[in-house]
Amino acid sequence: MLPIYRNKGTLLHSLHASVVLLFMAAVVGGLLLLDHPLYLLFLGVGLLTMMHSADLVGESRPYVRIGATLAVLVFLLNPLFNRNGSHVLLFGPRLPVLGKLDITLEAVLYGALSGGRVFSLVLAFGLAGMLLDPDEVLRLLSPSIWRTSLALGLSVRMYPTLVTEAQRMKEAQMARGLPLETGGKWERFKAYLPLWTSLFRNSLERASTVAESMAARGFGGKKRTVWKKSNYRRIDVLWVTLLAIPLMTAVVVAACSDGYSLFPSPDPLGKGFSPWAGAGISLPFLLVSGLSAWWRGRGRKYLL
Amino acid sequence: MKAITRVGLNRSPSSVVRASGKQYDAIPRFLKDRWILRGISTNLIFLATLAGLAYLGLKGVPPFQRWSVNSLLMAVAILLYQFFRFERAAAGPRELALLATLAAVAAAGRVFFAAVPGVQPVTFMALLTGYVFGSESGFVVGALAALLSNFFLGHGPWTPWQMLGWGMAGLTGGLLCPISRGDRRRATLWGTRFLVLAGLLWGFLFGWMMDFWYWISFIRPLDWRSLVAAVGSSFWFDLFHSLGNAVFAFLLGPAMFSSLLRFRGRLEVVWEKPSWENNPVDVEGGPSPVEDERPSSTSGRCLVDVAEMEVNEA
Amino acid sequence: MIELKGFTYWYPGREKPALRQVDLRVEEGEFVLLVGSTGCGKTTLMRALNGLVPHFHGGRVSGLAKVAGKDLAVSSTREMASLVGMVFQEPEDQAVTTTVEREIAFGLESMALPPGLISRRVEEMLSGMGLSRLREAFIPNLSGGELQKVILASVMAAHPRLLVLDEPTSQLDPVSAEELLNLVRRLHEETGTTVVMSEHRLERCYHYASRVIYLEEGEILFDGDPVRAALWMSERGKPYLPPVARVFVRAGWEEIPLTVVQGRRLIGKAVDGMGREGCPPHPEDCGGEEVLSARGLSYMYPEGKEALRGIDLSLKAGESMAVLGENGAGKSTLVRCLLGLLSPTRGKVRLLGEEASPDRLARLRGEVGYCPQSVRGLFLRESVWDELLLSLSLRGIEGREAVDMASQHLERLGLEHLAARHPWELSSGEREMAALAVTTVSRPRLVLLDEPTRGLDYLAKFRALALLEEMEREGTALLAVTHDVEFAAAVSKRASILGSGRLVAEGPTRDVLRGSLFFSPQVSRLFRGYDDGISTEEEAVRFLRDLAHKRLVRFPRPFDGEVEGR
Repeated sequence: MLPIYRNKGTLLHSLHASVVLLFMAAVVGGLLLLDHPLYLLFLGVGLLTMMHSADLVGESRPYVRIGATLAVLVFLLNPLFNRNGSHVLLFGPRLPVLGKLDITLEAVLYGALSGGRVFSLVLAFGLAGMLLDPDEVLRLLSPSIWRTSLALGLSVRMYPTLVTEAQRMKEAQMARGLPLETGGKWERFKAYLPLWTSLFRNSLERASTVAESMAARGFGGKKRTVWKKSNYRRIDVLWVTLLAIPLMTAVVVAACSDGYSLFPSPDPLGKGFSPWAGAGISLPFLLVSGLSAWWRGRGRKYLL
Repeated sequence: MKAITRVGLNRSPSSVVRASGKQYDAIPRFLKDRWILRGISTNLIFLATLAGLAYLGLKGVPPFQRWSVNSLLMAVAILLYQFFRFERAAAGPRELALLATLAAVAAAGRVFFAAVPGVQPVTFMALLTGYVFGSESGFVVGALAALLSNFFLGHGPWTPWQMLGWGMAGLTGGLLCPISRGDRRRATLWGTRFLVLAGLLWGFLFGWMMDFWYWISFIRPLDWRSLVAAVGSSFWFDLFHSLGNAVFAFLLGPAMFSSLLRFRGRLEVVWEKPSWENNPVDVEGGPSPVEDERPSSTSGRCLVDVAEMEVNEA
Repeated sequence: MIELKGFTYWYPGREKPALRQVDLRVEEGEFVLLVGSTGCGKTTLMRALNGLVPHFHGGRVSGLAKVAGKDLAVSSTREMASLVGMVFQEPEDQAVTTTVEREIAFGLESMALPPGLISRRVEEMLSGMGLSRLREAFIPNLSGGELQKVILASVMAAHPRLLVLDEPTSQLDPVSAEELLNLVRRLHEETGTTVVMSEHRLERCYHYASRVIYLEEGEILFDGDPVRAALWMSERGKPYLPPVARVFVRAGWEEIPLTVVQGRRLIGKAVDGMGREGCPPHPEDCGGEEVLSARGLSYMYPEGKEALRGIDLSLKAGESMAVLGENGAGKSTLVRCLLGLLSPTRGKVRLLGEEASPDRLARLRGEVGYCPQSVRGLFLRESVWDELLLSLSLRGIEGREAVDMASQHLERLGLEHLAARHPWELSSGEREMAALAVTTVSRPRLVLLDEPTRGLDYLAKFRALALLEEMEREGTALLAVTHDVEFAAAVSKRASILGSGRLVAEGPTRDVLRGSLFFSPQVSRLFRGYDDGISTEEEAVRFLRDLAHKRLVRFPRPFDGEVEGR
């Protein structure tokens, strides 16, 4: 199993982790804070273009699938419980627990909007996961919570070792004659049990050797410095000001003016929508896709 | 000279080394202990944050009136609080390496079973760690395993909630931790029973936490009927999860307990003869570049440094 | 630098001390080599040098210990860490962080050095150790040799005054091992750091050491310079000498060379004027039934990397074959394909008469013995004894018969003392031997060994060889994948070299090995030009004895090397 992060060499992959982190935080903030369908639409479409610019369309498929499942669930659940709308589409029967099952237009719209929100959120987190090098993020975190980030780093390092070891162990035992691949599911599960305990013990053994090596290198004192190589480039400041800050500002501005509501009947689209905020939300995405395209061509040498 | 150390996290690093027989004065230690004071203040800040968030949410102050935002902030606050507690806890190399390894094992198990619906070894591992090594350790293993496995399975808005859910499972695993410190056979017996029960419970609790996030963020109106529907929609998953936990605990629990308890075992250092002071030998030696943080020796007796582990007065 | 007086140490809960009355004084700038059988206390002694024993491992100590001016009784490992650098066996179990740079910085951070200084030291180590290329590399992607170099850099970054290396190359292939040892030598020469090292590959460091210390059962039995140590060990039949010296000792020569150059000079003097001897005839086809064959075997990893290309290979009952090759040449992949654990992209593998597959392997139920590279994966039970019985019961042998077979087998390998021990508590050499016992106890018809000699010392290797030869005589087919040329030369009649997925040379072992400068055992390099047929120690000893007789150089002395030891 491969980690989801892989540097694909696009502009977005080459940005400093903090830039991507701030940008995605702004996107997630926008998705949670805004209600106006147009804003949400801009953010959703923006994410899709980002997916394209980062050359992650294929990799995003599982996220699209999970996001769509959740979205459908939200879309179906909302109208069942929401009775606040004024336009009733369907007069349902009276059910024992749910009460009267009336489906209103507003509830359906709200379900759709929420579904879109869930979908975009899943996509946003997924993109962040695929764009951020875990190690870079660890590096950002290490000064503040160094113990946790050290533990996480160690487990990231241990993980591939453990997986390979499990594989090798399985092979060795199969060659020895342990019936791991034969019999029914339950028999197989039982045959695997000693393997797992042994693997577990093996990993504990590893833990104590690692601990010994840590102790031998002086780990365990109360005082400790944190060495952090600053790998900020001057251009990263430009990226923050060009991409992350405008988006954040636009989200805040939009959130302040946003008063869009679907109930009791849908507000007109013009209400609570500020074109400036809308432009502020969509511009960073346009910039990203434009610059990414340029980057793919000749822009690489100018942009870093 | 004898010192017994216990491997495991302890709450206040100020109790790091106590040579046996040392006298303490009448003032209660916790008052002298800056760490505890600081601990109290951290707890207060944490509780105030949670209460503040809840208050602002109920009052309807934007943006806190949005429960999607508010709940996310709360989850992050709890996670940060627990991580800071872990930062403060005096984890030596053994503890750190062990927790990292357990998290990696749990994550690998989760990825391995990803295709089987409902089977989540992370819950089991977090509970196990909590029971043997205490609440903080359990939380850290659960939370880190969630984060780590999502590096492979994919991050989503669920990541912080999974971290929280499994972290909490580990936290409750620590409830019966004192039993695990006693007689080994009893510890294993009770541990297995506890793990089966807690596993059954957490299968549902974990599922409900996920449902709750989903419900509070995306479903309107927030009333009990929609809550029941959201929770009910995942009933079968939760049931499988819960049964899976119990099966894991029943079948693997005893063996894993014995290896973990052996790992935790007591560390005893005895230096039979007094050291160089009585037998001076000329040995050249420059000053160490690392400044010593502790007085090195006390009156002819050797002080056994056990790094950051707790020393029990015998 | 090091000052131990009557140092005795018991691991927690053990009756027998691991170190007994150790008196040791090492001066600044020395290069000390520790030798002794596995489990003799070398590792414990080294752990004591930076206080891991007793402060990390617990236990009981008596006696006095002072290292780099610090009393170990009162100095924590943490204080010692900046003075004593320590490198362990397993590279994978030492790295803590995810990237090379941060790994180097790790120790310095723990020692609370200021970040500016850390940056400087990290740069210094990266360029000084030739690691700049790997600066940001992800640790799990490094090879064992690279990782061990990173660990060494991380330890040296603290500028320790004493460097302790516990069999640092036991898990590495010969080329990386050589590289690492050269690096250690360079560090010693250039920085004057005191070095204490234990190592199985004596041919690469023995002559360089300024002192050799022999340990047995936790006691120092000999302490002196390498030449005197060679004489001392030869008198007592201890085999911990480089192969060159060992053959001269065993042949009973009085003058003992430590390097190939010295040895060739000695032989040159003795051979002077004598005719060269011809090669012995090639081994004949033993004509047994074919147990393993591969035709046009190719394998491609899912990522698209081609690991094996068109491999043809055949092994008959009672035949033995070694596949040599450097790390990453595809040796382990080959073994896994042959076992049917990986299904080949092209070509066919027949395992005991049927096409190899996981299913086939399951049906064979232990008729094939497979000893994997990391042997820890082999152990499932609480003791070595139970593990042997499990192997036997999987083969369908139970009860009285199983008990007899298991105890005979242990005796043959000289492992009786390990029977009751927990497999996880063994030293790495003991564990390797136990794994060999577990894979061969049920008398499989075909044995596949993947790097069987990692971490084995001479004595253990000798016992393993004796067992494998006997099994071969009884009709077991053997395939060993290894980079230990000495072992390959001794164990197999046929050999082939695997290079970038192809078998580039195949034939009788001595022909294959003779044709190569680096893939040839030290002894055959010693006799190159004098007798090209020699590739094993036995042959070399015979040659030297004959030579001594003919030329009356010296009278042979009896040698009891193999019988000695626990």
